[in-house]
Amino acid sequence: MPRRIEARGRVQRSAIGAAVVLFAGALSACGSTSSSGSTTASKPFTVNWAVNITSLDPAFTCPGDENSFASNFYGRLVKLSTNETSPGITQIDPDPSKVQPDFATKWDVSDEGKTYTFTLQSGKKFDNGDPLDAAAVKYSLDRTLKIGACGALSLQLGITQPPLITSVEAPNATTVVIHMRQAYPALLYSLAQSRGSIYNPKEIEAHGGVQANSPNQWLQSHTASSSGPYVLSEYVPGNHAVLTRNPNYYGTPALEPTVRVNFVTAVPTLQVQAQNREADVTLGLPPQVVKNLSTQACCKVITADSPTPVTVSMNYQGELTNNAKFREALTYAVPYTDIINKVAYGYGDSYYGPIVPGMAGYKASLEPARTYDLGKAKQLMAESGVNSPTLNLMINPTAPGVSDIATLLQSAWQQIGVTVNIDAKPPADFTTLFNQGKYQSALLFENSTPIGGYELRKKLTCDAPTNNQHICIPGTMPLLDQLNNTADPAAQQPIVDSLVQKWLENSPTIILYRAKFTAVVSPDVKHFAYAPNFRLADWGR
Amino acid sequence: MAVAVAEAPITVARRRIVKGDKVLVGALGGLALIALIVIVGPFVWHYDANATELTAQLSAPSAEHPLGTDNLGRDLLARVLTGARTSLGAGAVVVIAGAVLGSVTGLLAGALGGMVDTVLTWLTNSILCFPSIMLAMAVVMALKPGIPAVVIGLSIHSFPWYMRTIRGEVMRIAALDFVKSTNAIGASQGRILFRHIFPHLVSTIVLQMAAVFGAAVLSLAAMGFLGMGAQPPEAELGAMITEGQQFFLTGQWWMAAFPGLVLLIAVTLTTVIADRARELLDPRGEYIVAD
Repeated sequence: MPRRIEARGRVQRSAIGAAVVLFAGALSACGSTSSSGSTTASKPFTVNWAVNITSLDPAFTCPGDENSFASNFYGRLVKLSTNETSPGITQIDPDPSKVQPDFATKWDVSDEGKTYTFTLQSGKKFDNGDPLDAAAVKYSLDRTLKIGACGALSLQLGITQPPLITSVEAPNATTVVIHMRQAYPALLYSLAQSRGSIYNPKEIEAHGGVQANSPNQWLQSHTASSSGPYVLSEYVPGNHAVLTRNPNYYGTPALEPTVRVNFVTAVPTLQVQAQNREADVTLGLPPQVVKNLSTQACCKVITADSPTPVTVSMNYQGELTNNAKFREALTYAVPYTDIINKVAYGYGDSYYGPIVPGMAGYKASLEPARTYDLGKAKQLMAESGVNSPTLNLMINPTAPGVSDIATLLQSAWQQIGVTVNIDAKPPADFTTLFNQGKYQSALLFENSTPIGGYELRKKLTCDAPTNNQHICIPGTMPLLDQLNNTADPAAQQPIVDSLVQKWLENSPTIILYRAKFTAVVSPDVKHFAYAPNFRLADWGR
Repeated sequence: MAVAVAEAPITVARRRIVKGDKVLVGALGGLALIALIVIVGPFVWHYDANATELTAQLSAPSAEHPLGTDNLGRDLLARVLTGARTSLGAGAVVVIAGAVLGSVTGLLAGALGGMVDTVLTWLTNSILCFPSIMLAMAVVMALKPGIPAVVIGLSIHSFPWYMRTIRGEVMRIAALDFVKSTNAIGASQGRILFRHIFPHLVSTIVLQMAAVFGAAVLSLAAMGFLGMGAQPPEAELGAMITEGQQFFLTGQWWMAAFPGLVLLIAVTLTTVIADRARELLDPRGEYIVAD
């Protein structure tokens, strides 16, 4: 009976495996309070990152982490200004009016704000010696627009129908002219992000060129030379990458000559390596682990305000969730403080509105946090006319903390008579269903762009593909048109305020909290900078 | 020797258990005890497995919470009891479903032969091309994450093992003299199959069930570990280990250790039972091992 023996053998092996895992875990736990402090001088600067990178092309890819990683290989016309929050630690300022020169030495605005003329540094090269000039910049921006993916949407801050950028010209090697359909100063912000990356045209043309509305497959795992501070010298997808300093970089050289980035998703591994100082920087740890490490000598924790709200998005057109009073009632039955303290372990804060605190356009007086008020929630439920409702809450259970939050919401909303059916979906299904708007409510870790106007446009434009919640509030479309055609940020603010007010009156989303960015770094790390696109060149020992 | 052949192996095994195979009796007793605890426990223990109490978050084992609490302040003993009931119960369903389906198809394939045998063999070989976890994942994708979908997937994967084994046994027994004699005196196909052949298959089925049970419980745990099994807030051992692993190295070892321990004990006991049953139910053992 070979099968019986085989089956029994498998069970035995599995049981032994489970025992070994438990034993190994116990050993690790016993050693968890000690920090070995292994030598760091001889090894490359090491970043352990809990992420799985699937594309290295900022013109195509959507996820923030992928853009962050890929942005290290490409220069841009301009860069965001930074503020030093503590010695050696800086944080970017998302204000487009404070954008600084980078590859461009200066720029002029003409034609009532619709034309930007950039003057570039001369005689610069990609890492392989090819010329880095205006032709490369024009090629790169045209490519991003032609692919028409997340890059084009983000580069134009959501104004794509019709496109914000009408043409890009390169009259000579050091001049680039961008023509826009309308004045829009926030363009400078997106040019400073990964979407404004400058690629080597020769490399791209040699490996598939540019196809409209289609990604370049080669660029999913390669870079088009390097115009940025680092060169990708080794890359094993899903495992690690080695970055070396670009000798031809036009800007300030990277602090570290070599950076090794390990893509590790196992939390215990990340934690042990942080404790043992095998990683200089660890990104993507769950908050309880960050909290634990913050008390140990091995590590220090760097936090930053980031535009990453944790929300329950309601389908505005869905059955039950199309009831504004019902949605509002739910917002008053959320144990906000408990969630921030017990699930986010203090790495979060409260607000309520469509614009995340710190974003351009945010006004604290307009978006005060909602509080847990069971009486008010019950009253609103009574006004909603809904009796004993069942709400389907779609979650991606593989995201850390999501199941906990869903369970807490299930208990909390039960108190106002709402039965929550937690509907777990595999990650791919979750993304597809959410993007197609096929859900009743969904628990999300959002990653917003720090431009309030852009966020409002994405979320409030009726029938827009980016409007996953199907929000369509009467009176918002004329305001959005007005916003699209208003260049001056000061003049935009009253329009933004009106849109925020309309959003608040309808409570389309439940903002649970804003998650803070956290990085666990070794005490050896003396320089660290937080930005929406991580700039590894500014990190070092 | 004719008596030895006619006596079903299960009868031999029962007699020997009564006479006292201490290891087997101990394992069976242990499994029965676990079954009793997980069936009765949730009704006796006063905590609700899903009731959250954030003020008691991550409490170490104490008199109030003998196994501690999890990150949402839920009593871990209550969750382990409920989770074990879910895991072991689902494992039992997989075993029974696989045994029923596998026995029927195995009997048909072995007895009828021809096209039926060819088609069923082809079908089972196709199913066995997939690892059990992969097949369960495919079923989960087609349906929705949760215990029922995983149980269906694992049952589909488990029945070919029964079917192949039983098919071979049916063919072997059908060639024995006593079956040929029964056939010669004019007994019907059904009577031969169910009255004369099937009793001799019981030992094989029981042995297979014991082996499959451990594998099924571990596969269920693995699916829970991948987030495709039990869905929140439902307690299940694999999902609890997944939740607990993030807290293992931050000092809250109890969250993963206790569900892991229960899983380890249950699987070890079934492994021991399968191991002892193989010896006990082997008809040749009657001649090798002295009573």
